[in-house]
Amino acid sequence: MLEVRNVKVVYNDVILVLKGISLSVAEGSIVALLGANGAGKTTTAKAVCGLLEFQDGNVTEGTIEFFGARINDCSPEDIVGRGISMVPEGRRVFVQLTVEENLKVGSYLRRDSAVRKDLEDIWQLFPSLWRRRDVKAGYLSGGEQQMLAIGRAMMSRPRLLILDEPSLGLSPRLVEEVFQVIARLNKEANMTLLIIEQNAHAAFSVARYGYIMENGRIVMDADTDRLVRDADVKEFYLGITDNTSGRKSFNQVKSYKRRKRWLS
Amino acid sequence: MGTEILQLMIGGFATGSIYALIALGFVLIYKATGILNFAQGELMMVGAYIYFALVTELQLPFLAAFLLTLVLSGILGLVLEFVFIERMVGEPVFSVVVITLGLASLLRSLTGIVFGVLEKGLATPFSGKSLAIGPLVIWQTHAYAIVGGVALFIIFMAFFKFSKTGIGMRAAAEDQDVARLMGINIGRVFGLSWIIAAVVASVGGIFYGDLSFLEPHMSFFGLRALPAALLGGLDSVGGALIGGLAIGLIEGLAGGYLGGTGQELAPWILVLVILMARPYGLFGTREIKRV
Repeated sequence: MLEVRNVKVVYNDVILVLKGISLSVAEGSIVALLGANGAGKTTTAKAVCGLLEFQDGNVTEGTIEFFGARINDCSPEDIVGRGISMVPEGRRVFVQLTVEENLKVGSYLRRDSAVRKDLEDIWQLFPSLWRRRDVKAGYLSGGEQQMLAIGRAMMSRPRLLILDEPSLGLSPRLVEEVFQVIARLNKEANMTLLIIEQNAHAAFSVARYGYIMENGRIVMDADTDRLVRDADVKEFYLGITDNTSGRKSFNQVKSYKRRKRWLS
Repeated sequence: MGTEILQLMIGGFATGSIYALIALGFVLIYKATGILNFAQGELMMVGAYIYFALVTELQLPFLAAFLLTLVLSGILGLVLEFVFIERMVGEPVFSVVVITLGLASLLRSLTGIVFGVLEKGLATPFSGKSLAIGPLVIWQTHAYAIVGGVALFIIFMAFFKFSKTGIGMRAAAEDQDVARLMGINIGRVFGLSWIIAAVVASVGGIFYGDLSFLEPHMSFFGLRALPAALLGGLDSVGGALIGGLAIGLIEGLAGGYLGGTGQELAPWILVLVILMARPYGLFGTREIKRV
């Protein structure tokens, strides 16, 4: 449903951040996009959601297609209307608005009458939010805020939900909870999800396919069960080392960087 | 003695309602766009002149002129936003604030050119008439200013609390990027906040014109609504009402008991004291910090 083809992004006309990345998300799947800080994961998400122009960023090459329609130059509201919703990095709930108002903002563009029913569904999915629906979102715990951010994105009835680092700043137990919710959304609501993560463990627990980004490029992509067996992924993203001979030279690391190049 | 203080209080509340309406404009634009609009007093002044022109030139009856003034002021607000402010989105706040200062002189001068700088009387059906309630004698304009101002406030507070557009505007005030992600058109929010600011200011302008007279420099009265906005909290709609009424009241009382200089000084002293205790104003947003 989402096809990103050879997209280059330049900030302030000079800083090349995405050096031609391609990825695709099939309907009904969960896809993970992994990478370290500064790899360009969030920029990728912003490019898809049309937020770049407000940060002096620009998609200079390549196309982004959603259900076959080119959305490169669409405004964010247009893209939301087409069915892409994002949970931004760091939750970013509206702290001065109550929980219920946050969810209402999520359904801002909708004119249909099912909004109320969807609100009920969110309360069902997150009972703790129902109990605190009249509380300002700023007073929620980090885990509750993450749930609220997910619920808010769901209120637009998206066909594709993009989550930018849902594990950020959460305790391991809460991370597990968040990813259980993600798996449920996929299974019960048949939601298509693109998860951007640094926490590979968590991402692999739900995703079927994964892309790995480094320095603005996709350096590797495969089914997640193949990725978890890859030596480099194990070492750099899962923290497991097969090498027991002690010290390693930096020359040996990141062999896939030389092995695979995408279109550039 | 008892009636005197009541009389002063009612006069003060009437002025206060006008302050509150203008302060509401300050608050709306500040909330939505993060800038302090120094042309707010000019919006009030132009609104009053529009009404004046409709009544004297077109001979419209009061209600028609009043409603048409609201519409025309709203259009003026939208045009100003579109022409001067829209292109400044993303530029430093300070530059935009200076633009509003320029806008203020521009509007003042244009009004002077069109209508002349001499004072003009503005008439409404209730000018010069009074109501007697027991020993109290109330100017009708005072009564209508209080009732109209408070009613407008209730309408706008309900709008921000319950309507989807209002909630969206509050969301946009807090975090523009995320608001965009929710499908909120920020340009439209900016435009709408200028429309509302101009409309409420014009209502204030008509009442103020009725209480005194029209001249291009009446816009400085609008700047005196700034302490009202600061007192209530620059980002609080309810605060604008309370702040306006409080400033009006203290001015009225100080004017009655201390004379002209006291009247000028009292609001600022009140603001100074309150801001020392509560830097974000009486009802301003306290930043929520999670620890």
